[in-house]
Order: sequence, then structure tokens, then C-alpha cells
Amino acid sequence: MNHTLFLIAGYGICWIGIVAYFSHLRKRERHATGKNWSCEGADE
Amino acid sequence: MKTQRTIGFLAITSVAVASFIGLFVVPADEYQGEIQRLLYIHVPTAWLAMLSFLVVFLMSMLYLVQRKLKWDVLAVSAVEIGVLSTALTLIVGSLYARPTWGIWWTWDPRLTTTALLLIIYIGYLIVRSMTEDPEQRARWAAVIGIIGFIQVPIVYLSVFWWRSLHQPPSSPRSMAAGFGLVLLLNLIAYTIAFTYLAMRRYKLGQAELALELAGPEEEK
Repeated sequence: MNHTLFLIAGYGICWIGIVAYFSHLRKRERHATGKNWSCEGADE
Repeated sequence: MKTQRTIGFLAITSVAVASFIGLFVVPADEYQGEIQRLLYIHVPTAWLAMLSFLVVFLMSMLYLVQRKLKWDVLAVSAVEIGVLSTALTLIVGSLYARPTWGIWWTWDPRLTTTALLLIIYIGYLIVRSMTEDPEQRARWAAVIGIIGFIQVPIVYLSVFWWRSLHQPPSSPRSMAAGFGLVLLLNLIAYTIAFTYLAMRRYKLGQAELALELAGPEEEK
């Protein structure tokens, strides 16, 4: 089988996974910011 | 905020440069050919998984000693990074195995223990979702974070303890100079990238916790 395809799949999945997690965080950040972007109380 | 942006920029740049070198500059391996280039992402993701779960272990211990919720937020941030890294390690490993071993998956000790590691920390996240009390959630999670860490050295040592199809751990020192340097470069690049993600996740966790502690009025 062509190794290039496996390389594209491997690197592609790795980068897509990282970007997807980053997008997920951004979405949650927007949601939290919409409510109250405050860190008070987190250390207690 | 400025530090976070700088790390973000550094993460994208270093991953781009390291990947370019790994894919196009360094020559292909004499025996494995082009597919060996997957090692430059397989090893960094595996290393980051182990590092993340070590952080979880330490933060869980700190939480149980000091009972400060910020340690719990740090622990869950590291778990998410660890779960992502472990999943990527298994997927990329499977893509590496097909052309080299001729199979996508086998119940080899290294593969099996790594899959179990992923299940343990997915379980950690599931258990967290089972209670809304931040203190109780942190307590339960800390216990799993500490007990679950036992699996990390088992994964690492599995290739030495049992007869395994998987090769012993690859590191910049175990490879020829040129390949080792490229691996080291990728290890640094992905560590910066995942550190950036962990920082964002920690800040988000703090904000979500602050909302939670403020009560339902604030959440409306």
C-alpha cells in the first residue's frame, strides 16, 4: 500500500484532532464569556 | 493574555517547522521507508500522554492535601490533554502498524495497556460528570487520578516485561543523530502546542468554576 496515504492520514488526523479540540475550547470559552468571564473564587 | 498569544504563535510556528523537516527534509528510513516519518508524531503524542497523566497525579495529590479547587481544575485540564494525546497515539500507531506489521491492531501488551490507559482517563471524565458538587467531584477525580497513574509505568515497561511486537521506546538518544534531532524538534514543538492548549483549558476551567460557585443566578 502507498505509504504517502498513511502519512497524510496520520498527520491529518493528528492536526485535525488538535484543531478540533482547540475549536471546542473556543466554543466553551465564548459560552463562559457570555455568562461571566471572571475567575474569582476559583482558588478557594 | 500576551504570554498566551506568544505561546500560541510559537506553537503553530514550531509545529509547522518541525513537521516540514520531518516530512520533507530528513531522509526516509532505510528499512521502513517513508512510513517511518509517522514516528515524529507518534512518539511526541505518547510522551505528552505520559506527561499529562503525571501532572494529573501530582495535581490530584495536591488537591487531597490542600483541598484547593484550582488543583482539580489543573488536573482535569491535564486529563483532557492526556486523553487527546493517547487517542492520537493509538490512531497514528495503528496507521504506522498497518504497513510495518501488516495489521491495524493486535492485542499486544503495549497496545492493550495503552488502550486501557485511555479507558481509565475517559472513566475519570465520566465520573466527574456524575456529580454537580465541585468538592465531591474533585475528591472522586483525585482518587482516580492517583490510582489511574499506576497504569502509566505499566504502559512504559510493558515492552520490557512481556514479549511484545512493539519496539522498545524510541527517543532522540536511541536513534541516529539526524533522525534523533528531528524527533527532538517534534517533541519540543508538540509539547509547546499542548502546553498552549492546557493553558487555555485551565483558564476556561477557572472561569467555569467561578460561574458554578456563583450559583444558578449567575448562570442564567
